[in-house]
Amino acid sequence: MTFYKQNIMVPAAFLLIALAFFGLEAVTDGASLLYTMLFFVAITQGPIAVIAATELAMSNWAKPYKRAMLSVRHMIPMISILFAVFAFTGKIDDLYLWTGYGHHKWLDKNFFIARNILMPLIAWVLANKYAKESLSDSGGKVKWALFWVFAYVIGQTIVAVDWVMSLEFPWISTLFGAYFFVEAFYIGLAFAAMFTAFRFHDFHETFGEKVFKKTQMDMMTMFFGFSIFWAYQFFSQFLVIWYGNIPEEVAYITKRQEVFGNPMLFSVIIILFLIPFWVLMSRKFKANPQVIRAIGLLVCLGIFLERFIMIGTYPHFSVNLGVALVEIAVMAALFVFVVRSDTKTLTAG
Amino acid sequence: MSTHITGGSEAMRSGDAAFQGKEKMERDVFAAISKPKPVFYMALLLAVSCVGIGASSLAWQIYNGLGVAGIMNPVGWGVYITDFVFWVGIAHSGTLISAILYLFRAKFRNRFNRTAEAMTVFAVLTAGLFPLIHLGRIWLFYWLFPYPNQRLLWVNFKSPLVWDVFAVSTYLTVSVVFWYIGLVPDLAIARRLKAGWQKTVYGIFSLGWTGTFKEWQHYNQVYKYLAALAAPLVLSVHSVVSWDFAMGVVFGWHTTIFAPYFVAGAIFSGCGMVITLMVPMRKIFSLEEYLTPDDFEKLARLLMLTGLIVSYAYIMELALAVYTENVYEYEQFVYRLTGDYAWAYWTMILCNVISPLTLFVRSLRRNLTYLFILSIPINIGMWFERFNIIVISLAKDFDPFNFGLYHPSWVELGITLGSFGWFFTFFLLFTKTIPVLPVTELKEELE
Repeated sequence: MTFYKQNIMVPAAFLLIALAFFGLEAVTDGASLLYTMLFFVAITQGPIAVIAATELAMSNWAKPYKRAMLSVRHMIPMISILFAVFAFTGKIDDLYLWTGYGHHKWLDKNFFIARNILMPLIAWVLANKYAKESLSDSGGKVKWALFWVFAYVIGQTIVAVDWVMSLEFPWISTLFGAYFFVEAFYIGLAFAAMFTAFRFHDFHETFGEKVFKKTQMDMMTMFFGFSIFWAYQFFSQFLVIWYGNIPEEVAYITKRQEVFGNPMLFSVIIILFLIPFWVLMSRKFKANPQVIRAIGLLVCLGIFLERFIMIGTYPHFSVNLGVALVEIAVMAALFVFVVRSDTKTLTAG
Repeated sequence: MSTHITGGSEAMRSGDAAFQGKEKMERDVFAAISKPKPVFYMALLLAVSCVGIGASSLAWQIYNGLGVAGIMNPVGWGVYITDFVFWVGIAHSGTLISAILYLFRAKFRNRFNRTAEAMTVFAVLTAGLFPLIHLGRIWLFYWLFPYPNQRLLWVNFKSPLVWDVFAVSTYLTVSVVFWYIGLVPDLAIARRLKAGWQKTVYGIFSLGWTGTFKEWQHYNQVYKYLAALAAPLVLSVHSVVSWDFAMGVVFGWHTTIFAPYFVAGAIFSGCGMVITLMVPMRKIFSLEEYLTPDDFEKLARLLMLTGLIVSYAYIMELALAVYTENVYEYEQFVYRLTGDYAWAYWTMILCNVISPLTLFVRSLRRNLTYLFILSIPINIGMWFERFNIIVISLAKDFDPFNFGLYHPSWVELGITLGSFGWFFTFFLLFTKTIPVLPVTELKEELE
């Protein structure tokens, strides 16, 4: 809470933006707010998961990025606020057709709203506790890193199942939850790449050129590894559905082919796999701030595009792209402001 | 000046201590491949007897036909395919420990990589037997390969079973080459230490290695490239094995999480088997100084992580079967939990989900006796996981008229026992012919 007290502008901005989005959503149709939330639920949790994972693996390379990566936790409550806005504008009835029928307890509308408001709040509490332990380098940091990772995996799985999969109920993919938390991890690394590239000189001054270069190389190697892992997960999901060719299942892919066309679908693979894979194979590029910045931005763009493809194909609603872009721009500005406010200094203590 | 002389002698003394440490380590590790004790012969006899039981069972099956096995419609895949997947899984952690951990510069791998790689090679050799045994007419095995023939018959490249042939044979080839390359410097040490015909044999296999700077330069380069080549195989092999099932439209098989879940499960069972093998080996060969509880704790952490991934997959499968309200999917999972094979399902849950949770207690992670005891239910649990996937899904599919139970026959159980004997025979011979710890890599650590 100290952060919000010291930066009173942040909670004020949260409320103002929530009100503005409420107004905007009330007068427009479609799933633009859902689209906005889908991107920010990843980038506000993925970077913390990266740090927690390195803490559990006892890796040292992430230490210089710790403060920056953990600063995104201050944005997590905004996801709960936005979901509340989303629920109160009545969008849930419009988007989720299962609300009109009697289903089992998991697909109960009130429970759906409650858990999706509550989960980010739980994640936020745990993230704060973990960040406190980790930044002070106390003995409990590993324990709290573990708790955070559990909350992260459960939270991202719920996002995958509730927000996206249930749009197409009763379609299921058991990999969807894992796909989401791996992708959020990937975007966490993209965030680290962008941040270090933008604050290159600060990092040099704080940690020394030699240490920073070495850790940055390790981080980009991890980024490279995750580009392969992302492709592996994508292919694992795609192949089973495509090869199985069960009408009600394969429709998930064919519908997107019809609406967006193959070039757009392939562009996601090119952006999220082929380009990072080929570029980051070179040691020279891994150390080049311009390249790192570009790759980080590109991966964020790829995930933007992919999540648009995920939810932008339904016959009963659409994503109002103009409204979505306004909302995303506002959220991005808020995100940058929050991260900047918490990273005046880069040292962990 | 005097300071310089004192410093120099200190450096010499510390260099001398390092040299003595290396010599001692070399002596200790090579002591393991000295003349075997009676207990070794007893273990070997036991393993060879199991091979004998397996071979007799196989001979009986070949003589009488596949009918002597319990597989029958609707359960056309039974213990043989369960064994195949189980052994491919065991083979998995070798490449993970040797290649991926090498690329991640995790030093604790140096303690386990030699044994894990040997285990990989022997486990793939064991796994490879089962598709052949399952064929029934084993002499027609070459039909699995695409080869020019008069009848213009060609394997079906769209079948995951054919992908398997290529995936597993590639994995075996790369694993053998990777293992052998890593062995060369140690074989050269063995050549130096041995005499007579043994010296000649080690001399041939060490390929004239002399340890020059240039040789090391080439060696390090090729080892790194092979590690990079082998790393994707960790993902690909077991993913392809999982697609043997996931590509079918059988409930309980056709699920997207199978590939990563099989890979995690394979690493889980492989790490379990490494612990099963290395804890007694540490004691028998007096390697306590080199295989410390710290090293095993890191392996236990890997076991915990993969155990949690496997548990996540179990939960997702079950939860989404309930969520989707598809009657077939739902009934399949209710049947798993409460049906004829519920005992097998709950054995799996107990072994793979509940028992690894005890590793959250640090003192248990560092207790080698406990780790050894735990590794056995993990191996059992992973065998049952494959049994549950294969048998339960086939026993109850879409049409109630087609439901049917499967009971393994003594022939299948005999062959399964034989596969363990086959694996342990190779492994026991390995412990007496090749250094069980990578001497050169451990020497590097001492520097």
